Amino acid sequence: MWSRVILCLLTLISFLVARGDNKVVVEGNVTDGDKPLASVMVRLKTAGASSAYVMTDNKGVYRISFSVTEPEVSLVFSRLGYETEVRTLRNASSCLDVEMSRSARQLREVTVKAPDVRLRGDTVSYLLSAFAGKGDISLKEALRKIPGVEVMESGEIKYNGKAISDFYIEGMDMLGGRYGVATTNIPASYVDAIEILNNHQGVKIDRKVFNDNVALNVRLKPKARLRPVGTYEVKGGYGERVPWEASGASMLFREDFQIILTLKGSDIEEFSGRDNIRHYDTGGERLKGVADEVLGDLSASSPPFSRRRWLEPVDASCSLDLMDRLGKETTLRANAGYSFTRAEYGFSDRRLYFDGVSDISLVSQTSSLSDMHKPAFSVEYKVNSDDLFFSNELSLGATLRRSSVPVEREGRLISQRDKTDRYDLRDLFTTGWRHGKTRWNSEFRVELSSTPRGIIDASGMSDDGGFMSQSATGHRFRISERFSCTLESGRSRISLPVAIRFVSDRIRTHLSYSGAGSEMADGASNRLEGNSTSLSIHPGYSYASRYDRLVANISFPLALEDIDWKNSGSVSGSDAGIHFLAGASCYLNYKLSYRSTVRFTASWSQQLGDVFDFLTAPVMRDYMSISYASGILSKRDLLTVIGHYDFKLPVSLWFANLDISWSSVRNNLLPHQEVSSGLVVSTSTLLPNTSGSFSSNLGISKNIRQINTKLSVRGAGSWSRERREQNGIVVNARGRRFSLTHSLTSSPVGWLEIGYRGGFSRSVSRYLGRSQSFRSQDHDIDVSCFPAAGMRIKFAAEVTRREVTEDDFKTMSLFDTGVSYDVGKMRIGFEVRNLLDCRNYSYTVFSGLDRFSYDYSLRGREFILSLTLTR
Amino acid sequence: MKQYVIVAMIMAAGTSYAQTAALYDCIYRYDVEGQTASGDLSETYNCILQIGEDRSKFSDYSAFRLDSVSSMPGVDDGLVDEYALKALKTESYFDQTVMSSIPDGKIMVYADMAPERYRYEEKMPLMEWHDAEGTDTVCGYVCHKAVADYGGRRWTAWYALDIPVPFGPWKITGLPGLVMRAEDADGNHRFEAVMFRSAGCGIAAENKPNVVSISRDGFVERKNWYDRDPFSTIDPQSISVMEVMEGKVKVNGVAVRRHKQGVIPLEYTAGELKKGHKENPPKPEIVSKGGSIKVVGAGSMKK
Repeated sequence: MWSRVILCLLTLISFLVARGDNKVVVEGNVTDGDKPLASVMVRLKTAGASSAYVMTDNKGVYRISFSVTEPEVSLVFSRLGYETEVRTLRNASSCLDVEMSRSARQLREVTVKAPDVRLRGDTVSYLLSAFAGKGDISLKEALRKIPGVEVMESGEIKYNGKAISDFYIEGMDMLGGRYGVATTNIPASYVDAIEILNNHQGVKIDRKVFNDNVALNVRLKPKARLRPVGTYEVKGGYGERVPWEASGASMLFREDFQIILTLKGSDIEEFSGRDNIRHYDTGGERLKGVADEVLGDLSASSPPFSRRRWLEPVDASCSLDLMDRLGKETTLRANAGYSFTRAEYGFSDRRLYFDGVSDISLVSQTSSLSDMHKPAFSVEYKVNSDDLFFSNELSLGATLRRSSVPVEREGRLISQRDKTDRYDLRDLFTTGWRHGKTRWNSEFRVELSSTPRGIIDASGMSDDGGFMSQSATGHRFRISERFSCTLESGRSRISLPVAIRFVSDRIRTHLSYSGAGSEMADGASNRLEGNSTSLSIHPGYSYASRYDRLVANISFPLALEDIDWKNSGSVSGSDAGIHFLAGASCYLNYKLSYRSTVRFTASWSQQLGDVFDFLTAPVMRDYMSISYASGILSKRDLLTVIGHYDFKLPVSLWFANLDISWSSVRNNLLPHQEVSSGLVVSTSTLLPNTSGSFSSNLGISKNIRQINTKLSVRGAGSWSRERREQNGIVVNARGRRFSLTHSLTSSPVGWLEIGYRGGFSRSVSRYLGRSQSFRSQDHDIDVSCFPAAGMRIKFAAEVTRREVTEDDFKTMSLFDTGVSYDVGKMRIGFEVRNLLDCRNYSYTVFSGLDRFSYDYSLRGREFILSLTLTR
Repeated sequence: MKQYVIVAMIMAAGTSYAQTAALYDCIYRYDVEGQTASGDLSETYNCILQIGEDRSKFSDYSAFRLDSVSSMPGVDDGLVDEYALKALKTESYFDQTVMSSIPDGKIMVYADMAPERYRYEEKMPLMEWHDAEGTDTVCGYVCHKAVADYGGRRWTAWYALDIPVPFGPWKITGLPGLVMRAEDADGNHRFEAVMFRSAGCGIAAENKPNVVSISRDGFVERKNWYDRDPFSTIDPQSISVMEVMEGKVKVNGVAVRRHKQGVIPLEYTAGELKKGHKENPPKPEIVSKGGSIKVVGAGSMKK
């Protein structure tokens, strides 16, 4: 009792003192009924936050002073584990004791979902689940929904219009550019986030050197990182052929070790070529093979619509990709694979060749059956530390092709076959290190490409049984060393790379031919041998301002090239001598703001031809095409100017890019073509000429999160001019092409997903007062409904409208439908492809003065049942 | 029997001294971004604040896991070693532990700066908060805004009145609710709560041996030097054992952590601010002298 009296007296004294300051003092005891409660939060409750607060001491005593104008005040007494008490009292000093009671109420447990988009420095991270739809099974399908990302038909990935330079999975580049293996086999459900690494510099010793590359890193969910995962699929069905597929992909992603093993076979989809495309190659351009340059590919065809519509493949492949992190900065990567592709298709074509007055028309029907075996192996050992970069990559590969491409023309059946074997080997050794302010780099390369067998046979080309047999074999060897020294001083760098390159070629061709023009071609042989040695320096200067806001560099490549080629075949020729080549290039990159960048590149270079300029004896690539080189070394002066602007708001999901390029090429040789009803002869003549082109490309992309929609629009325009000689007439041709493509993916409600991709294009070719134009439209629509959990109904349509001849359009519509149902980790699916059994597809392309129209046979209606297991 | 009772009492006392009951855990994501002498810095740490009735402990999440495992009765030594190694190998490791005690009215901060362990105390409250306009929802809780200057930085904190404790990440404390988000005006440091949950285990006391008590200014200055270049602050004569384990170094049993991308200090002393260390961080001086060092082979671990 006495303690309470003393307390109140003290309160009164405090009041009297505080009155002088206009402050109110409230004090008292807080208990739980028995014991004093320490650490109770006592705060004054105002309209906004608390303007005064205290805590009770060890004895449960509090004393709070404040100054407010309201006549009444509220005090809030709160403590974890106790019910909050609120007391309202007059705005005057007083004593206030409070009793608090225990509370069984628990505070809400909250876990914050990871943000959809996170921007950290140059890295933008997109949470995949925030963008991917229920219908996106593979990573490739889900990537299309990521803001700013485009996935091309070939599987190439671009970000804001720029192709990615590196593809990582959990920071490791296991696939070395063949990332189709990952994007088609990794389920989207295993991926946590996609990271876009802007200004990516993969080599650590150059981490301070500006780079405008863009890389992509896949972040996996924990469930995909702890144990082996895989996707296994079996399909079977009914159609003209019995469709079947069996595929399996097993994967393991650990912190220091990754492996993907695939085994696939199918006659429904063609995957070998698609999965194994090397979208980027750190080793640069590979040596061209003899067979590819001389004979081409008899069975090559690339109509502008999905290969699965017209191609009847039998594909089988197996691949093993692994990467082991041997140390913190040391990795060993190995990739091995074997693929077999059998492709069958058929088409009819009408080729119009301009002969100076009118068009020569050649009509034929072609069917093609080709088999290709492609084994490949590569291994790379790399050390990538802050002070040292060391890498050695050895790659081996082979392409063994057998094709049969019979052609029916004017009632005559012409059989064509080719057999080509090609073997390649390359070793690339790169090292770099720093010593103080000096950066040293060395790149040593050895390459060998061998074509021990290349032969095209054709027969039945004339009534008296004309035939042709063209062989081409050869070896090409290249060895080069590039050594550079870069001095850094403040924000400037001066570099002096020196390179030496030696190329040795040996090519043999022989033609046996009876048919139109045989007097010039029969017995034609090339025995071409020679070397080319080049010594070049590329002095350059670069400057980077603070935070790389402005980066500029200029360089002046100079080279001496010593060539010595000799053809001792049926049409001999040679060239030997030393040539001086010069060039210049400049590059400017300026960050207008954190959102936008402008880039300017200009270059001028002089280029020499290669050994193929001396294949002076005729070579036949098919039953009616003969080509031979002029025997004059080609020389080109190339001037290119490229401007680029990009704008991005990654968090607001806006992307735009504008690219403009202009190029002018001055050639000493003019392409020359002689066309008759039985033969097309291509060569070149010594006639200096200039060709040029101008193109612009504008792309805009926006994600609207509220309705789960991604919109992309791209417009492109190009103008070109070139000169050609055809049937003795020199023609200046001008071309224009405009195109508009747009795409939309939307999931406005949980049970519906819509995908649309459309395009309009118009191509115009003008020459000698003639004008030819060609218009086309493409519309791809995809609608998926999810009426129940685990169930999906899909409907897809491909509609194309193409101008086959002037004002004569052909429209084709292809429809697919399907249904699937998930049972645990299994998916059961049924689909019908080409629902209306559409059998033909027509299109036209320009090629200089000529026009080619094709009519392809399509795969008929197919019913396919599938079973997929993901674990 | 009497002896067993005494032993049991000691053990109980030891237990109650070694651990305080925790009511809730709040897990923070701590981002550091900015420019250092080494270039761009962008780092993320995972930290945890264990909240008791009148105490709290803020530490790196891997340190918390190690403490949790170590405090389990009958735990296997191998498991403790495994978690100790994980903590050692954590690349982004928040190397301060902050313990707040309301009854004692103070904050105790611990940090390893090889070859020693250091601690200092500061009286609560550390910061003078001023209310600011605005509310926001952070980690599911409505938060109010307040601003304070501390250690050369202006901090904006968002605190939840529904969680009536004066605690927060690191030393961002003294508000009438749990601080759920705090960031400095320069945009270099940001703490944000990403999870709030019931506590799974108690708050372990910091019972490491041979801890050196130091003043707050001495701690902060030493730490800012040490973080820039640890080895420049280590006197070789003070090294008795150096261990290397999977690329990580320990000196006298204390882990040495290097920040390759540089550091942006959380706080400065008045002296450092006066010398302009915030705008122009000084280069560390070599202070080491000659001395003999005994090296324990790689892969070994002192128990």
